Amino acid sequence: MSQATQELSADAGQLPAATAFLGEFWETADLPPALVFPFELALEEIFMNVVMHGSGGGQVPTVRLIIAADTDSITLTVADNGPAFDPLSLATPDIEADLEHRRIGGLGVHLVREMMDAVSYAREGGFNQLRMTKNLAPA
Amino acid sequence: MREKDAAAVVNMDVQRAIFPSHLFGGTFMTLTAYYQPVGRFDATTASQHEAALLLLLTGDANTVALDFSKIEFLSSAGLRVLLVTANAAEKKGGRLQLSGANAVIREVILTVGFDDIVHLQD
Repeated sequence: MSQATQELSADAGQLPAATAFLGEFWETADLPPALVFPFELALEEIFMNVVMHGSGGGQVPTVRLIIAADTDSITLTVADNGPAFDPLSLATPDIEADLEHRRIGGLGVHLVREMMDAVSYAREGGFNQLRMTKNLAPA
Repeated sequence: MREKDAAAVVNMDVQRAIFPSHLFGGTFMTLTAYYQPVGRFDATTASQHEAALLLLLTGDANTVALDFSKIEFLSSAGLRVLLVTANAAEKKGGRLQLSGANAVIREVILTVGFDDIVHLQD
């Protein structure tokens, strides 16, 4: 079991640092390169959601990233101390609407749900916690 | 705009090859602008790609041939740019045509049902 944690402020300029943290963990833990893409995508989608919607209370939230891998699965937890918000409560977007009626809202969370094997939300200790897990195929 | 973002513009390989490809009754023609972004099409680069693509459509071009063969990463911020560009092209009677995407990028496009919107090609 390997694990790493990083704290960042919920600022768009911190996204490259968040992505770099993930990449470094991938190398250190020697994880399958093909699996970095869905986690990098999930990280950007959830991090940017916090950046765009988390500062309503007048304060920039702190984002805590926790990545953990064992032989069976990889789990990324994105936690933030912004106002309580469950991104999984968003309505599923209409992905069959024609061009004129297409909306971008909700597509990021839709992608996360589709690319992960398990996604769950909890509000604990003043933090929104979104856990995203992908199972590893047996070696 | 941060300097880090500005570097993405320098890395962008923008080529403009505007040429008439079709004539419709001698009244309208399709003028295609070619655009090949390099690297990431995500929250860190979306605003620059959006500005460049919309600029291409402010001239005579009404269709954008978007070459994704050098794109390694696509997120919903990038998808938003594709939607905005497709809408702008359609308003001018043209369209957005995306080609060259690798398997992972194609999966993102298909997962959100954008294959029709970008007229996804191989």
